[in-house]
Amino acid sequence: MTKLKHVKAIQNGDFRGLPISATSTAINLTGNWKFFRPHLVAKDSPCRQACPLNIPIATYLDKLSSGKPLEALDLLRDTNPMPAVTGRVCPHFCQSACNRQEFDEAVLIGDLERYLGDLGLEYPHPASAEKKTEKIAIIGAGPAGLSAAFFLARQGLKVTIFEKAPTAGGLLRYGIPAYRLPRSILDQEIDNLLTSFNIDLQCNRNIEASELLQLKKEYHNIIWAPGLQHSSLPTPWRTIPQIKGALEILAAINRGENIDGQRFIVVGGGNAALDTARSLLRLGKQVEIVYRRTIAEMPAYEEEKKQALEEGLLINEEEVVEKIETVANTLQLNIHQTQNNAGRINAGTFLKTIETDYLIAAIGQESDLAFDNNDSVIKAGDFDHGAASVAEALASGRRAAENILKQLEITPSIDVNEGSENPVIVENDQLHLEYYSKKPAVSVPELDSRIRKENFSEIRQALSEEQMKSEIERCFHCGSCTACGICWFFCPDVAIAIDLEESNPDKRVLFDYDHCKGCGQCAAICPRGVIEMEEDH
Amino acid sequence: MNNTNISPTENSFSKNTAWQITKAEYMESGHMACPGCGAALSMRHTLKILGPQTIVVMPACCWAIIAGGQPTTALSVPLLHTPFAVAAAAASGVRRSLTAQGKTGVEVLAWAGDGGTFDIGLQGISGAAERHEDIIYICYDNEAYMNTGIQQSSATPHGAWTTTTPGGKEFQYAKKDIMAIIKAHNPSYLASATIAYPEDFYLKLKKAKAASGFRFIHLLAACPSGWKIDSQDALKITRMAVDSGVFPLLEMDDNGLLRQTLKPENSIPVKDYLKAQGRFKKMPDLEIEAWQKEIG
Amino acid sequence: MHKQAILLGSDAIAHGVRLSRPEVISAYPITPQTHIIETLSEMVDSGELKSQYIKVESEMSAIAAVLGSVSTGSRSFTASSSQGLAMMHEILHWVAGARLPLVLVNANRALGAPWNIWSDQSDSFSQRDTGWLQIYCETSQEALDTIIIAYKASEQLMLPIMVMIDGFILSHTMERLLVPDQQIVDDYLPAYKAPYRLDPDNSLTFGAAAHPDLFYELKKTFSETMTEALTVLDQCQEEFAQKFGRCYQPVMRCPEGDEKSNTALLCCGAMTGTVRVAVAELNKNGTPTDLIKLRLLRPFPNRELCEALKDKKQVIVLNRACSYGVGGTLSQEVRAALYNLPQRPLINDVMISLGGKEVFPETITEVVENREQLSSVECNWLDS
Repeated sequence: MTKLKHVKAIQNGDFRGLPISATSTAINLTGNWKFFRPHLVAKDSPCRQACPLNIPIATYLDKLSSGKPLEALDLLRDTNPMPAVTGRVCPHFCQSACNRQEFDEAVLIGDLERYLGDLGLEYPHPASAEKKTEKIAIIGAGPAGLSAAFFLARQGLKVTIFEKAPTAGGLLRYGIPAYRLPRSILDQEIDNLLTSFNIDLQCNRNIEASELLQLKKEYHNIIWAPGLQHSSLPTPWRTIPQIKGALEILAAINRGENIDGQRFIVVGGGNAALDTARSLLRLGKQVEIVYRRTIAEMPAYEEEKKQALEEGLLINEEEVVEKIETVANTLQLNIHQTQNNAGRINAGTFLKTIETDYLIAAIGQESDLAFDNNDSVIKAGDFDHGAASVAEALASGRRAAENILKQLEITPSIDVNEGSENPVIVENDQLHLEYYSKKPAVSVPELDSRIRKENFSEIRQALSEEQMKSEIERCFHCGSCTACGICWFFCPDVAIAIDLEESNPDKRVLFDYDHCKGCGQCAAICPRGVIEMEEDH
Repeated sequence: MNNTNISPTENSFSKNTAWQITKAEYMESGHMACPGCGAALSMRHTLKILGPQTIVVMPACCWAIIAGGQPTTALSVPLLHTPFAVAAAAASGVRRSLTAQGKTGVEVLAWAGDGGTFDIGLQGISGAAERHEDIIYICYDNEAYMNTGIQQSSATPHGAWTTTTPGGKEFQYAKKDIMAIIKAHNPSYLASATIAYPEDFYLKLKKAKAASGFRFIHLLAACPSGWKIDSQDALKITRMAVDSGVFPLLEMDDNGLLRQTLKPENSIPVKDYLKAQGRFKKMPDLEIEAWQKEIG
Repeated sequence: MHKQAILLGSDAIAHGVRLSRPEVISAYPITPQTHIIETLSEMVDSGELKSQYIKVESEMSAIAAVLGSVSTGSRSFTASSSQGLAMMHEILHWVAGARLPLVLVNANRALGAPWNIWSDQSDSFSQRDTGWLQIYCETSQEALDTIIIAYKASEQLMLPIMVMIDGFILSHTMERLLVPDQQIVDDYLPAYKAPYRLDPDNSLTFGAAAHPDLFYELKKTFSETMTEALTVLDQCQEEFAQKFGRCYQPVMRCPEGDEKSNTALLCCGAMTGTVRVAVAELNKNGTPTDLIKLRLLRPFPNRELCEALKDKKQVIVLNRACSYGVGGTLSQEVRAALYNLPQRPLINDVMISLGGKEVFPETITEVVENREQLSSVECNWLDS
């Protein structure tokens, strides 16, 4: 019966003419409602900016927290040749710049770096670029020299390092006590670096400035990174045999030599002063520090000061050695109170007399190497910029290497400044931390001060796997998209997709502009501050 | 107030957590919600939690428009549009039909705004609650009749501007205590939540899903145009409602008592919440202070 | 095949519902409908009827609950009356617009104010534009049968059907009738297989907003389907007659009437019984009178009515519902239908009863005997 057109249609499953819908609203291009649209703007984190090595901390920590430790390690070693070392001895400028400080506490970037660095001891560095014929000589196998060697050898250049001492390491080996940097770690780190790139290390080779011309015949270029070899002493002190330089004493201790004397006074407030004093303490000596300003003003790293005090090191603050007399084989020191006259420190009233076997001066370092004409010499490390941190020495070595690569017109296979060419630093107020909760840093165990001051065992322990995971979650990954998905989660228009596999952080968030209405909530919620709104055309 | 957190507050929603949520979407893009709509976002996640075996019943409300006009639909689960007052009753009928057909494993979700819940739909909700109908009733509360253009409802807080309380201040009645009303029906699950506190939201929705019988969830959902706020601030301000104590996140415990499930880490004054929104612009300071006193 | 029984009208209806095997019943009491849901409640309680029985808190929820259950694919039932039906009004529109098959029994009763619980048809006549089919029953047997027929027609049309009985007159009186066996009903009315329903495995959205052009198209289809309903209902009634031996049509000429007479009475519902007595009396006493019973108000059986009344000179329409300011609602319907006849009879609009006012055979005979005095323009109200 044709009369029953509609009734038949329904029974046949034809729902035209009925109030039934089954087509997705996605056919509505609601994206054309918007005036502004979100886009990703990769930014730099303050930790990276603070790091002398420009390490992309937010990014490699992202890899680590995504369960890709080897990728994280690669990323870290792209910029830092010795993470197991810096993870221990770097003062962590990064942590001082960490945005999390204002939220609760800085992320323990150093310990995380050390975690990866230790992992890296087991893994050779990735193979170098294509071998090249150019040969480079490096004077000094300290951090700057090793760093320069690393960045050159990675480009396939043939590198030879000349080291005066019997083993490589420079200040790392002879200046830094083993309780801060265990020798086994240092050995492995250097060994891994040298063997990964087949770097030729020639120890017990002292190169004088006069040999420059001779070297130039054999090598395309030479980097001078011999460090600062001597402690500087005030002239009147130089003639007194019971007065020694901190560097020399430290080197002797680190070489395992026997140290004469029982009573020591260390003058100075820097790391060398503390390292010397604490090493002597471990040898069972009686040690006191005399420092002319307050403990708070001591330039040594805070952690070192804290540990030294825990270990019971006596620090005579705001005191100065005013007069030295030699009586028999001992020194009589007249100690005066200091006066601080608008920043100038003067000796004030007499305080006491101290009798000591040795006085150790930790008040500066110097080099005995000098060139007639500095212009044509490529220098690196402390020799170049004066005493500074290990990270700065590594950075200096890298700069020297880059200098040479530029001369040889070689484009580095890894751009260490990638992502920070035009750095927009993410400040604290650009982060959106609503979805973070306060969580203090993990507590990293240290050897008990009573036990540790009797030996040279490493004080600060490694992060456990669990601690590492917990700590890494605290990183905001400022300025670097981690594909966390918060923007995706909070998009009311289902107009955001996340590409987890995308390695380029700038491409991980995909905006569906056909349906994005431009509400701006993704930009307002991105914890890392990498989504911004721009006018929609 | 009981301080037991049901939500993990530790790093509540940091890296990777968000992305661990199911990728499946049961709400489509291209829907008709205004930019920054809290109701749209709430639906999206409600369906992610309840899953594809869900039937949605929806009375007149913003969502009746958001869901799209024929032949389109913004939901990829079955959706029954109903007149204003009857979401709870229609949902009851849907459930009974499933029961009669011996179908299990399907959630019936009544999804209504504050007008359809606090006002015109209240009687039907009371009936369904009294019968312990096996449905989840969710009120997404944007605190006024937003779909008709921002008229006062009994969910509108005291002091808020709407087109029918143009002075804001002359509206003297406090928001109706819907939680107390529903609690008096002894539901099998009762909670308040907001997607601005996502983990609390997810835990509660999951609990509701795991339970059976009459379940009621009161969601606060920002309406940028009705609250006179920028769309990008919708989440932030919804969070402030919780942080200021204006919208506490509650759950009924086994003893039938409402307890706070999440104590905000950062408490803020009521004033901060109110002053962040244009709708409270005319509210006199004295009344804000009184409100603050009431909250404590 | 069937059992003989003497049943209260409400109980007969409950049996009609039971035999139709609804999966969901929603119930809210209102006089004079209450007995229907009471009996159904007992049937569900005893296990005689396997239904989900929802005791709602208002008529609005009663109709909304079955809106939900039918949408989910269950044959459903509800009943109401008067104020309750009025309260359902909004949802009645929705159920029809949503194209859902449903049977609702309305026990006709007046609407206040003032309060009045007795029978008239203003409640259901007020709902004639909601898109429901409306069938008015004269007897309890007819009501029982009509429920079964209505389910069959409703599910073919995907349109709801309202079945009317007169409150008290049918609902509260006993009648000897036949209750069919379940097997023959099952044979006539198989289980409902919804062509569309709320089903998570085949997701559809029902009732989404339609823009003006689409809305117009949907309503055009709806209206055309209403026209097709006449055919479908005919088929269903025909099949019922074959199976059950009782024949129903939208327009029925009563055997008490004189087919050849110039004058015809027209009415609907239980009053027809009284009018039959009066018409028999009139014909016996030399006043030839025909009697037409209208069963179907929506869709209105224009063609059938014209056929039945084309040769009449005068048609007296007995109304039990008023559209105030116009007159008897039924009269307006009849007038409109007969307008297209080449020779139109006079139509007298008589308001025979409202709010349960008793209609005696003498009331009818008096109206017919004084038919010359009846106005054919104004509504004729009885002298008090």
